[in-house]
Amino acid sequence: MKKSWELSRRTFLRGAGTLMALPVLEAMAPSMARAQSAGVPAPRRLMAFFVPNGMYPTEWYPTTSGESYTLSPLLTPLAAYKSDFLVLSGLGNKPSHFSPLDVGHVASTSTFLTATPVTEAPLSNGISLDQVAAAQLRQYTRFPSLELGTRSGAAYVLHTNISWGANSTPMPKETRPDLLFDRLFGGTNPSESTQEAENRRRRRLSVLDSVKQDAQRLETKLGRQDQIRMDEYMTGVRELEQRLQQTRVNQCTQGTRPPEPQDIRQQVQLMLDMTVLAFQCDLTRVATFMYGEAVDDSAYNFLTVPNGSGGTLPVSQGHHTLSHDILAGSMSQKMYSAICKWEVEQFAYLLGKMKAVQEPDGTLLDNSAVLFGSGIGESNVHDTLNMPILLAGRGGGKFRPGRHVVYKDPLNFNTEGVPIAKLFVSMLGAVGVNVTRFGQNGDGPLPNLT
Amino acid sequence: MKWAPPGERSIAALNGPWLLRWSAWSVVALILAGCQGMIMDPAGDPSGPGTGKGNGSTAATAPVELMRRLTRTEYWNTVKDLLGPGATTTQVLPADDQVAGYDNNGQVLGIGPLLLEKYAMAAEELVSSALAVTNPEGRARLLTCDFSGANETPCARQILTSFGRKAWRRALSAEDVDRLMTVVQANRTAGDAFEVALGVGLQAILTSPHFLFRVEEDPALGVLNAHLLNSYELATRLSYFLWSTTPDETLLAAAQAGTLQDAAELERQARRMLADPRSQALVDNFGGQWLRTRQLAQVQPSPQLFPSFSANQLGQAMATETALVFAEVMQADRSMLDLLDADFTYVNAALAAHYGLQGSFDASRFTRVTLPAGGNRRGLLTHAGILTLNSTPTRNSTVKRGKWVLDRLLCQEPPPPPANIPQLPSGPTSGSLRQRMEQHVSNPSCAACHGKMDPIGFALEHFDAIGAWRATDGEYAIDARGTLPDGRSFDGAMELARTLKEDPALPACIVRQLFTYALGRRPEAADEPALAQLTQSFGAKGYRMKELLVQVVLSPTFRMRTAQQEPHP
Repeated sequence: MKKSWELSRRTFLRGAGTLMALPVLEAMAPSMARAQSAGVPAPRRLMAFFVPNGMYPTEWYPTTSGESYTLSPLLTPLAAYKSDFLVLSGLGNKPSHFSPLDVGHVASTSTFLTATPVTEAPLSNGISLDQVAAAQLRQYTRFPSLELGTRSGAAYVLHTNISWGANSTPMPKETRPDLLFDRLFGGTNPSESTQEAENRRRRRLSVLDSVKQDAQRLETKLGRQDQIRMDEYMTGVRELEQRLQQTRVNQCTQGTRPPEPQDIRQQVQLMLDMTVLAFQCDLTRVATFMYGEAVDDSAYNFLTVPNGSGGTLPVSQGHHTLSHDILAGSMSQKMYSAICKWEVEQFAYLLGKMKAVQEPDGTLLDNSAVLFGSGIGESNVHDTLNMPILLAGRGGGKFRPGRHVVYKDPLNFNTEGVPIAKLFVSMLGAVGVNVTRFGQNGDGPLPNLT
Repeated sequence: MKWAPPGERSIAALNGPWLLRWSAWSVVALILAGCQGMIMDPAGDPSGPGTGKGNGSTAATAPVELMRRLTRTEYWNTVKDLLGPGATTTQVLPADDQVAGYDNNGQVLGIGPLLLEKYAMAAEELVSSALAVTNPEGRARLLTCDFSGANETPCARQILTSFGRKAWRRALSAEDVDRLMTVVQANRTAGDAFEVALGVGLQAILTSPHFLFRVEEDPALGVLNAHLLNSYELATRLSYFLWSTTPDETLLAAAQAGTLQDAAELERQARRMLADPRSQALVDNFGGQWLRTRQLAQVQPSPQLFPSFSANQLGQAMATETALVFAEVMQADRSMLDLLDADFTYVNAALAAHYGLQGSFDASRFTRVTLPAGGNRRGLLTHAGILTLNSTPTRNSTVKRGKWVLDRLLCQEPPPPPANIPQLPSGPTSGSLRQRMEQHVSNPSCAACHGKMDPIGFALEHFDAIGAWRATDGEYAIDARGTLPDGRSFDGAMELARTLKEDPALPACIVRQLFTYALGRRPEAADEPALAQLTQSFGAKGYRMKELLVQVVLSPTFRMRTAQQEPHP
């Protein structure tokens, strides 16, 4: 039953490969250069920002809807950008429920952007929102997509990945902003002479040419699953090759290399800075940022809550632990809310950076579709049928932000929200990737976004 | 027994007692571990949660082995062995994800564009630093012939042939070498110095799928049954299993001579390798992942409540303690079950203070200590690391501790909590942790699994979130008694350890864990007879780790491979 499905994904992968053969030169021009050529629309970008362990529902959902809604306590950090984002309440990810594993935290994380049930033996998942977008938008940029995050370590694959390629391949994340900077701007060493750069390019291309032959010969001796793996290898080789063949020099200001971050706060902001820079320089049009991971039990000693007697207490209990101890008004609930609010502040930081970049036809934020949310809603009951979701940006004019849209009562935890996969259909449309379906239950665009 | 070329290999080439057992094997039903039948999935999923340990739908099919990329650990070990310690790179590879508890699982060892890019960049830097004039050791290792004048071409061929054999873990064909020579010559013609052009060839070797993947070929089209690995493939499995690195010259020579297919020679090689310091990799990579102590690098006990943890670098010391005990039990041929109640451990000064041990200890060097009889600390369950990694930042966790024992020691991980569980009243905010946790068990939908996990955790209530002994839980007295659903009861860590040591599920689980690590895949239904056989021989040999390792190596499952579905035409 599964085999033909794998085959179709393989075909899909091949299809994506042919798309990238001919770069669109005009579109490759960095946004700075393009700013001078009037009438050409700026590129559209798609991004998803994931947070673990849900959002405290009663402080997350605004109590009023429409344009004149009042920001909820957890949304107050976004006050300056109220006209730049939509609060979408009552969206859910039902396909996550059909996964034969921990649906609450684990499946809701690994299916956050796939809207397809995930299984662990054999490992299978759908292709994620960002990778669907990247398959088409890769033709315009040096990097098809960026998979970014804050954690990388000994952890279970379904805890640590929201971005999934074809063939159920989790896409590893970059977690260091300094290394990301090197990757984005590598090969532009200013002290290197043109001849040296050309020699290096020649050597690299000859390495790739050699290993490509190795892979082609090897593929004929492998079983089917391994051939798919070799196809992935070839895709990577072709991507590198294509990048080496683009001799265009970055025309935007790359700025200075960020330091290796010393704590999580610095790490998040530097990663978001790099993401905005990559968008601004049109090095990619697709990015995911996975803050933390499923069941993340990190402590937040840098946050404090009032202790009730005039002083403060640090948030030293773990995030996941607190998310299950949310009796209204309790100290643990206040600590949980403080973490949620801090996460929203990081999103506000991103929006501020994106809004500050002027493009010919609006700001970078206007030209983007940026998702913020968690796979889980009310964390103590493991509600994944109602998710806390924001959509920022105008998607190049496809969305009308500044509203709270309620699709279904999100506080009725055990009834299913409108499929979030429909939002993904709409987001893809906004960046010019026209699909009619997404995942298991995205059977069309989400209404009421304009 | 001589090595037979692919196509002529058959099951008959297996010798030793395994043959009869193998042919008699039949598929047995997979017994799912866990809290059977008690958790209902509200979403109506017919398979329900908790099927993670095996997939019923594939019960009758032979397990498929996937071609595995080297893990990050294996990659660094390998390039160090190939290029010497002077070869360096600034590249940082992403950590490998875990499946079934281990990062060497075939399911996730594919290669996406990001990884390929990093491997390609690393190869460039590694080769140029290995050949740098400032690295005479690296140059001597690689530049093994005179390349002046007319010697250039034959010398390049010789270097590529010899380095390629080590890196690809097999003899190179003339075609392979020709292809690499084309790379060298093209760059030489374009004006590169000999060493630079040769370096490009070496880079090609280290970026090739033959290096990055542990290639195991399937035989001719249409052959869909299990077949013996060829000698090089077997040497590679053996080396990455026991050493987490590439085969050494002795092993490669045995593979080349074909003698490795002989069970006696295979066993001789395995025992030689277990006596080599490189077998420490089993402690670090198998032990550290089996017992999860690798995660100690990421735990974050509250600095307000537990200032000594980071001040004294206790996390690192805790991981070292467990590794040293594991290593001694393995290397001294003690019963692995002794891990549960070993009367010794290893401490540095910080850990000794944490444990309240008297005496003088070195700040960094670890000292072996015999633990006093009647004390409160003995065996794995009282290792501070195990207790700490199964705690939250501010308190110990009965649930995590119980789950760790069931999952890591008994292979009976309970199914995860369901989604959209009925709203529970938030528990009492006062009372001992035990009293608060007992709320779980009062709810029938939680009781099925928590009834198994929590009593195990209760037995460890005398240890706080960083594994320090405590007489009371704040103002509350500690009740460390627990009873399992099957009626076994215990009071405290020592009695729990004794109960677990007598449990036949413990050795069976060690076998299952090692099998998962050795094969890089989750055991499936078709593997149950092999697991049962290994468990039986493990017991017959006194639960000695090295004997189990040898038996795993000699097992047909390790020496054979099931062909994947027919390749594309």
